[in-house]
Amino acid sequence: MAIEKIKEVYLFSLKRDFPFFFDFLKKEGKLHIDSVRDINGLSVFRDVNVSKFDKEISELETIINELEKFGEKKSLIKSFIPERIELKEEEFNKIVKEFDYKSVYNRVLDYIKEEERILDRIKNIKKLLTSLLPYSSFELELENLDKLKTIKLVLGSLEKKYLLTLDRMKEKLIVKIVSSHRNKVFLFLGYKRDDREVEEFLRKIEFSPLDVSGLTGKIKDVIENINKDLEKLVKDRERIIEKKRKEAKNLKNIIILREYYLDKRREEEIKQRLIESKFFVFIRGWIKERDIRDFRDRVEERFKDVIVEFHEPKNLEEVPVALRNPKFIKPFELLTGMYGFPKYHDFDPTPYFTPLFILFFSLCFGDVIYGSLLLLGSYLFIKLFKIHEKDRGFFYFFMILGFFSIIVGVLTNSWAGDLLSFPQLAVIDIIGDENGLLKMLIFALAVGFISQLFGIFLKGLNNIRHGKLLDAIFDQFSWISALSGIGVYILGSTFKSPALLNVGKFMIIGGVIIIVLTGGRESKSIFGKVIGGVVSLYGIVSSYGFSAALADILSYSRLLALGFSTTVLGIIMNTMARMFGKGIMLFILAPLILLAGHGLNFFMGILGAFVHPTRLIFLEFFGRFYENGGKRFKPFKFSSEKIILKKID
Amino acid sequence: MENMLGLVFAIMGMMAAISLGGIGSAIGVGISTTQATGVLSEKPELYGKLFVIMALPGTQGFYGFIEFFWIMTRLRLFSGIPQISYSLGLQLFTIGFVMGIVQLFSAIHQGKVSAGSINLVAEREEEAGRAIILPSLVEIYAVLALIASILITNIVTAGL
Repeated sequence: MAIEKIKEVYLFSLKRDFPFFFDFLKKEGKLHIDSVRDINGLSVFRDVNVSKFDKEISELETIINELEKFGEKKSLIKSFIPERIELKEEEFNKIVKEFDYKSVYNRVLDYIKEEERILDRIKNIKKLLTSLLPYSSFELELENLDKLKTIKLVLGSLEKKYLLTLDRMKEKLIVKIVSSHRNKVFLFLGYKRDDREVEEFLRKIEFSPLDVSGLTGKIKDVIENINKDLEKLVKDRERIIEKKRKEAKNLKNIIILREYYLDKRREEEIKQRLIESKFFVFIRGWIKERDIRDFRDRVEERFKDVIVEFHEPKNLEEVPVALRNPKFIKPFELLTGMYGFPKYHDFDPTPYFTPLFILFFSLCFGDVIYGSLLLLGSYLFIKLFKIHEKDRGFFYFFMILGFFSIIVGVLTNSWAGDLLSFPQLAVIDIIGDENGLLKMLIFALAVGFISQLFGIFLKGLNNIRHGKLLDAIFDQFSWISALSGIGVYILGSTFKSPALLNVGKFMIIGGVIIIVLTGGRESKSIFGKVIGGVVSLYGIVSSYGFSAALADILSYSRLLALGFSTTVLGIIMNTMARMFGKGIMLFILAPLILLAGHGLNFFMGILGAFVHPTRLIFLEFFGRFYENGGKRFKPFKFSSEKIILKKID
Repeated sequence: MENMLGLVFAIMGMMAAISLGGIGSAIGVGISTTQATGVLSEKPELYGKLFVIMALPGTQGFYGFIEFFWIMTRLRLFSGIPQISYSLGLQLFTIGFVMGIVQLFSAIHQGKVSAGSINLVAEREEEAGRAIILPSLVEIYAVLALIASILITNIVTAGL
């Protein structure tokens, strides 16, 4: 129930044994390999090449990019689930050894080049086609245009506004309009060869001649031929796409191979952390205490010459952190990971915030029917989509939250808003009871108050663990006394109990005295000590104070607001359904409105009920006691985002 | 006419809450979604993660809607047109309007924070979990305004 005990390991392996030993370590998967700081005349391990597999990886990635779109189509829901390929180790080894990706790569490269060529030609042909189309009614064969000795015949286009100016040259220029489109006219012109004046004139009015070199026959026929070419090219392209689609059946193997090389690259990166002398390779790492015995036995059994030493970690700051929690709490490590792991010498906050997070979430989301949907939905998700063991934590997380939302739903009489109503089961009926809202607000603030006290208490415990008993009394228990004194005082005045009032007063005064006397103890001057003590009450010097406490506790009022808004939005949907539903329409419209409305509210509710409690944990709760900054324990073993290897026993 | 004035103000208050909240959310979601479309054109696989962040500034519209509905329920508008005094109408208008203003501005600013979060996810996908939390730092004020408005609505309509 906490942070795993970790020991430091030194391993010395003979150089000739090293490749086997390194392989063995990877298969064992128990060691977090770290870099060595004091090299002491030894040199860094030399047989490393991080870029060794870069070529293979980039080639495989090219193939994957090209073929991915022809692989299996993923539905929207499936795109949320990480894709895993599960296979046995021997299958994996077989693919790595035997699958010839190079030939796939060469073929794919050919397809890419071929397709590029075709697309290029299609583009050019289409350009020619658009330039010819306006002249399709022109009947002369193109090869005859340039045959006359004295007269030059040309086709070309001109902006309409210049059309009239052609009249100026009417003695030297024969003009025939072939067609016109928008602001352009397409012309057939004839003039005397080498007539400089006409050519100069045509240039001035920006007449652009049509290039017909290489084309023969009537334009109509040319266009027809081009269209045929185009059809053929499109078919060629389809053929290539078809080939790619066929090639995509290799995609799975290609992905497996890429994962293999990515893992190999990581292996090289880890080798960079090693050190060597003339005959030895030295490995420094970390191992979980409970793995030590087994690990030592196996090393001794297989490698007679390897020396293994285990040490108590010297510098606690650099020890990697692994969390160990019971099954029920494990899914909530998700949040710890999100905020950042604790340092090795601190403690794992997961078991402490888990009940609070569950309470917060279920207060925000609390509804019997929504909760059941969340519980069942998450369960069905695991079953229907065959979610792998590794990814199930997320769904267990929501199953637990769904279960507790049901309970809160019963206690607050929220059944998909007011679709059903069982006020006799409820403790606080937010909607039905005139004072329900106020009661809920007080409850939310009380939850906040208690969780704040709990946070301060945890900080105090941690101080004691580190041997700082006085700090714990001065900084934490003083506050707990003062704050809970206020709580007791309020209780006393509500129930009109003088005894409680007195106890409350005593606790407040006691706490405040300690805070004022000790708040400035870090300060050197007497004056600083006095001022520091008084000011720390308000919360300027120390990280905590009455102002911060008040703000943080008020922040928990969101629990009421979100819970209330989930319920009220549900009621709104029901009201709308009832309004529209009269007679026959009741059976058509009402279910539609209910389905769409509650669906929307359900998802909005989950979002809000996740986001806000997470903030309450990260900011208001963790702010009291928790520091992150630990690095994760990552054992050296085969690792891949996509592949899960089944061990053969 | 004279005795309808209270109802007119009450309706103005209801509509102020819903429309200011709605406008704010529309602008806020507009800001975050525009940002997201840019990112999605480069990394379409982030759709699932970004969609959640895009939608975050949308809640203010619903908070406005809740206040709208709450006044409606408290006045029992579903079962006919009630007699509402001039002063009660003005009180409800003030509540709806002021509450709406908070929704309006918080939604816009939440939209900006969401856009920032979207950038964060675009650069570092693994930060998605934290990026989702950031816009809630702004949203709390909309939540507080909602709580305050509902509590005070309860108080002023207690006699009805």
